[in-house]
Amino acid sequence: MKNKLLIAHRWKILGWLLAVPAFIGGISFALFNFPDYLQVTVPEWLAHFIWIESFMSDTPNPTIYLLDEVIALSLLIGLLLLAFSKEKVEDEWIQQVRLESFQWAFLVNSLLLMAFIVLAHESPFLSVMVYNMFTPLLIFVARFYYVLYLKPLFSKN
Amino acid sequence: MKNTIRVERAILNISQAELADRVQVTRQTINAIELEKYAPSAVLAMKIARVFGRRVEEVFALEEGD
Repeated sequence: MKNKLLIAHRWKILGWLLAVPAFIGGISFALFNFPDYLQVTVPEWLAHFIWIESFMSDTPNPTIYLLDEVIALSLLIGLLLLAFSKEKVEDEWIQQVRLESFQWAFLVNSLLLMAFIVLAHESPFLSVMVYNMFTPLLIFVARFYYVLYLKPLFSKN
Repeated sequence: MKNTIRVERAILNISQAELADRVQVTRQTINAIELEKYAPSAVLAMKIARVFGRRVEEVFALEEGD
């Protein structure tokens, strides 16, 4: 069975190199209120095209901090590379684990979201939505690699 | 689906990894099939039976509920 959406195995290394530091950085950023770095001043022509808080959009050259954007993009790109790169031997059982893991991720993510719709309100719910940007891919990657590489270590052969 | 892969491997004295190599899948796939957690495709079932010099029905059998 050919899966046209998958990319070459070699992209997996870049996936780990982007996702792991970005995950650690993202957690640190969220938990320890890291100061935002990478300050840039948006040129006037570009300020018309990007979506910034309303109180800033009146200034011709708004200032934004890019560290959180860099972390978020690195995490998403890294997780996508991990999710969509082939295994060394991409056989039919691995294809099945891949499919099951996507279903798992979709289901667990929806259940978590439903729980937090009830449990979190106002500003904490905003935090939930931030985490929720990454949870589908995180759950997929965790479940896929657990079944492929960790579970066989625990099961009697 | 039941199978006799473990027995057939013992007769040929080959490991899961060797069988996996011969039918071009991963060792984990052979393990999942042996543990009856995964039913292989017709193509893979035929390849495995061919390695053992058996017919597919001699290696794989339907269970109740299949």
